[in-house]
Amino acid sequence: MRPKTLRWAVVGMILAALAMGGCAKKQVRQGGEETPRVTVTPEKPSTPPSTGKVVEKPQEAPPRPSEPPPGKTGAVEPAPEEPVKGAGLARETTAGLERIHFDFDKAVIRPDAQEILRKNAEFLQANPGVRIRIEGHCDERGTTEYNLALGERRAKAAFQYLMDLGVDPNRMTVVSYGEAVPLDPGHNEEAWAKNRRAEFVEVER
Amino acid sequence: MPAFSRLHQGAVWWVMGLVVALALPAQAKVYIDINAPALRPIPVAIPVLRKEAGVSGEPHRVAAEVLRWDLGFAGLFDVVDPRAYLEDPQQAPLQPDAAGFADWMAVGAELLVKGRVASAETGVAVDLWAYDVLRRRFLLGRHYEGPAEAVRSMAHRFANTLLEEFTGTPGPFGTRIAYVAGAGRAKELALVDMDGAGPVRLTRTGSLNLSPSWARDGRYLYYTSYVLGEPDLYLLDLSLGRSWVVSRRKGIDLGGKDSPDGKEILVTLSDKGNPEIYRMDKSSHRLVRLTRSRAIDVAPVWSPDGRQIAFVSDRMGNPHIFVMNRDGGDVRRLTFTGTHNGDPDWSPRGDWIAFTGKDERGVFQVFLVDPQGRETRQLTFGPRDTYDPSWSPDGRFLAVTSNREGEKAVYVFRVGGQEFRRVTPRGEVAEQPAWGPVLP
Repeated sequence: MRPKTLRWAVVGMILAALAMGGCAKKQVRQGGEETPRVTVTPEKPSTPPSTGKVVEKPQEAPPRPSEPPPGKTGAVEPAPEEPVKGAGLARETTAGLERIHFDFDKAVIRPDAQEILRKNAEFLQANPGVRIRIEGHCDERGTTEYNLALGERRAKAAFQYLMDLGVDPNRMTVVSYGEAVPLDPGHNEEAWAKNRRAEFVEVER
Repeated sequence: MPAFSRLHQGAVWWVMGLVVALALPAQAKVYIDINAPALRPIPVAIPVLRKEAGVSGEPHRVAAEVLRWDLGFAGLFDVVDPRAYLEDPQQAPLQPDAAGFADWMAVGAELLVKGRVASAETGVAVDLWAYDVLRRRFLLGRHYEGPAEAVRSMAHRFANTLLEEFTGTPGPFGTRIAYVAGAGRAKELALVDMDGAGPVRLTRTGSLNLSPSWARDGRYLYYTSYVLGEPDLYLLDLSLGRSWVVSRRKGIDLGGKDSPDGKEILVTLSDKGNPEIYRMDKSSHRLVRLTRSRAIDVAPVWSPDGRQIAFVSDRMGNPHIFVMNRDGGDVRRLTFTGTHNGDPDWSPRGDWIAFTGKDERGVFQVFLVDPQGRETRQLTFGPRDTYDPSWSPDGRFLAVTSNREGEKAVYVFRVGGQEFRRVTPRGEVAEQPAWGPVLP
């Protein structure tokens, strides 16, 4: 990891730790369950038993599974044991703002969305204390990694549009959820149209 | 001589003909191509093992069930219905006598797998033997010892040995598949044996965890987690049950495909504005940028020789599969049909790249394209979506996500076959399979 990123990661972790100070302690641990390794003696040819009598071979002790060299990961930090409460969770658009929708595989701001974004921009101008996270989403049709990228492209398109309308970019962040968090769990055109969207979520300062 | 030639010339007379025609040396091994369309599967009988005194539980049944699952899936064998078996496995000799072989022949078996389970200091000792029923001969045997819970693993190993004997390449049985479990706002990483045994959750973060990718040694999984609010790249140590930050940049941090030499990973980072593909050194975390386009470039995978990288880009409009050299040069487009191609995975044999595309109905299916982009083959055809292909380490099978039974689940199928076996538990939404390596 490059020093700059490392610095941000450390800052992030300090912020995370501060944010957690007020939260109820909830144990969230990675790898809570054992993933057992099975030790088996190496195969060796076994002669066939003659009828009625089994030939038994002397046994070697089972070897331990060879431990791979540790890490080889260089300067990495452990993942936070306790995440910021609800940090990873997508949310729905805050009251006063309205979500927008997109066409399949597109990140173009449609005319209906332009209208909504103008209203959202007005709301943000009227409420200068409000900071938002723009969350980009896709429908389930599409490949996972591409949809993560497409969700980001949608969120950024909304970000750009609001910025062009005069909203301070420092009041907005973007995050993509790809296809992971549908609004409508259905598997039809109607659900997909709802799920291709950007949400505008108020965040704490 | 290979096992099959002693086994049943009828099934493979044409292979033998080829052998004669090519006048191969007598010592040369000749293997069966399980994808050959004319192949008639070899009927194999797998009775319950003999259970010796002092053995607790049902390991003698478990081992037989595992072997039936494996061999019945391999494409080379047809498991003879156990209800037809004539002998009592507890009483019958471990090596059949003439009458025994006659009985197995009577139920249609040409290959016979027998075994016994005994107690041992470590837990259990398992012997497994394969016999050529037509020639009434012993083919091969193995002795295993280990803890009682290792019986499944022992049976998988024997299935792999048999497959190697017949085809020259061991099977992938006993390997594991990482996947993403759960619907809604939280998804966790999970792990399951390729035959559906022993599913376990690997993370409990209550956030989104996506796109698992194995390190070559099978000890680590790279994955993307929203545990701190944004999609960042982590490394999970399966032995320690702990995760480590790999990349926490602005935007998307995704990937972790391990290079064949194990020194680098391929990542997709969007901190420069849009997603670009990089090689990341695993020790120093230094980056080498491979793509420079205003388009989306994602989902990079290595060729088995490490010289090329397949990836997805929409630089020409719709997302398609591309290939570039490991330094980012010589970019070539591989797919020209369809409007949404993605999820490439390069076969460990090197000859095909599996990917997700849409059929003419708009249903997602799994396709193959060769690395030169000359030929595309459709592998799945059902009315429901099948996508996210991940190769088995032997290159015979693919793990996929499919909603063929309603909810999304992970299935495995043999390339060239149409039998889809579900590996993730019923009632659990599962996706994004990553087939793990063979562990020593």
